[in-house]
Amino acid sequence: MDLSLNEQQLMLKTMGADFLRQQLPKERVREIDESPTGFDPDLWRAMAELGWAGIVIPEEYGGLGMSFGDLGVLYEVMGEAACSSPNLSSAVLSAQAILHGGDAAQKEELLPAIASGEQIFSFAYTEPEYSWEADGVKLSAAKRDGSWTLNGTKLFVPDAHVADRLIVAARTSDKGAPEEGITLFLVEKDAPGVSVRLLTGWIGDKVCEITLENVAASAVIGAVDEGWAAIEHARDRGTAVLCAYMAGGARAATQMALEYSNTRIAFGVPIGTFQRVQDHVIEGTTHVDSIQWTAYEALWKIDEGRDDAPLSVSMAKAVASAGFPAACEASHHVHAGIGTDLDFGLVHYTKRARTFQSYLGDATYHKKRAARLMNLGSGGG
Amino acid sequence: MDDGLLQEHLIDAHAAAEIERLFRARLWWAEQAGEETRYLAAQHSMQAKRAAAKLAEAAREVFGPRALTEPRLAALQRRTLTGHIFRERAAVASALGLPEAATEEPAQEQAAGHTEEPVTAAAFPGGNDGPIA
Repeated sequence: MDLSLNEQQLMLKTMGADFLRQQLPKERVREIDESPTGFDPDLWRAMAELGWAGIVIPEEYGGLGMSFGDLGVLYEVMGEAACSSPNLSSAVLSAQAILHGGDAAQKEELLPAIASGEQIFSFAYTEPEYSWEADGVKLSAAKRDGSWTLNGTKLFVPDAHVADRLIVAARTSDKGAPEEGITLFLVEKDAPGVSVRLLTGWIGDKVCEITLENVAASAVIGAVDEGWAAIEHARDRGTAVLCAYMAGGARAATQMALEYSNTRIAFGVPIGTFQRVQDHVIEGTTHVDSIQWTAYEALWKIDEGRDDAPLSVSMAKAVASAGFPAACEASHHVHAGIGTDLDFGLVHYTKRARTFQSYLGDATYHKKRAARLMNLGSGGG
Repeated sequence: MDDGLLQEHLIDAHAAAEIERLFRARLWWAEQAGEETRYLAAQHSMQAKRAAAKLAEAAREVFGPRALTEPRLAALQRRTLTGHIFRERAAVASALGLPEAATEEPAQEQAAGHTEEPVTAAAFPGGNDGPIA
């Protein structure tokens, strides 16, 4: 299969890159990163007007009904621009969970608002014992007087502070395998008992702690105890497009190293003359190509509905989780001191590399998952 | 197979082989389209050698000393010893627009009998015979 971009994707790439060049110069990236919310509502609205919040949402629900390969092209461009937005949380993870798990009425009610960007959803999965395995979901949900009440904490959740609604994974049964007792709930962010705390630190996109104290869920997305399939469906698609974003970020960091190698003079020659400097640039380039092609193959397999798509997704994320930070590190070696200057812009990528290294599963998690999918045993030893 | 460390070696080798396959496919499509392939050929060759090295490493971890005595595995171990990538790196550097490296290595390679022909896809037919026999 030729994974290079088709004509429509090349147009999408050009359009996206032009838009972000205008809207998101590196100075603006820094301003947004350093703002209290890390979120630019004007940029979000502008992206939504271009249809970016509905790229893979079917047309019948107000989206554009395009492919994940198309969305990957856009994510790669967003990665190159170090663009922060709730697109992954809302338009991919939450929307795909609803599409896969929700009933017809829920899809009709919820998806158009996501596709238009009018409402932002956050996908709340991980907890204090950070894990992307099914047994990592411990937040409890109990049925009282016909409605579900949620208690517990979700941690490291992106975009919850700017979201209107939350999709929360909760434990509704301890019987059977861990995957069997998980249910997805729709929770209004302003419901009584919901508190959202923005976490500080050296992170690329803002993440939150969500505390739920006797919170009444608005709805169950799908069937009780059967939320895992929707989570896996959403997460595989979110992971694949995130890998495309990471390819874009790695490319931008490596491109900066390449330009600097050609322009920075030391001992009377461009530093790119030195073989060790060249090695760093070439190492970054290899990471970029590796992330890009594994990501695009995973996206293609998702679009084709192939059974081995989850394996390719895990391979792609294992490659991206190792490769994006390594490409940034290589670029820092080339740049030395100037690379740490916040105005210079390289750190935007480094922060995102280290944030997304873990998000939706780090390399270790995805290697284990790949081993499971290849029937290599439990890996417990 | 339940050993997590062994699994990781196997998955690393598999991932490297998958990347090699994707690079090889990209190179093939570029050749069919009549595109410039110097960069892709060099990247593919480097990756083929890396994948072979990863596979050899995994084989040593999984098979122990048998990796050095079983004929096919032993051949793999031998092949990875010749997996230097100076010429591929020089080709990638050149394709990226980096200045010519101030290094003695090309001269050393020449002295060691390596040829000076241009780097093309044909120059690296699957790197060291590809990662998997």
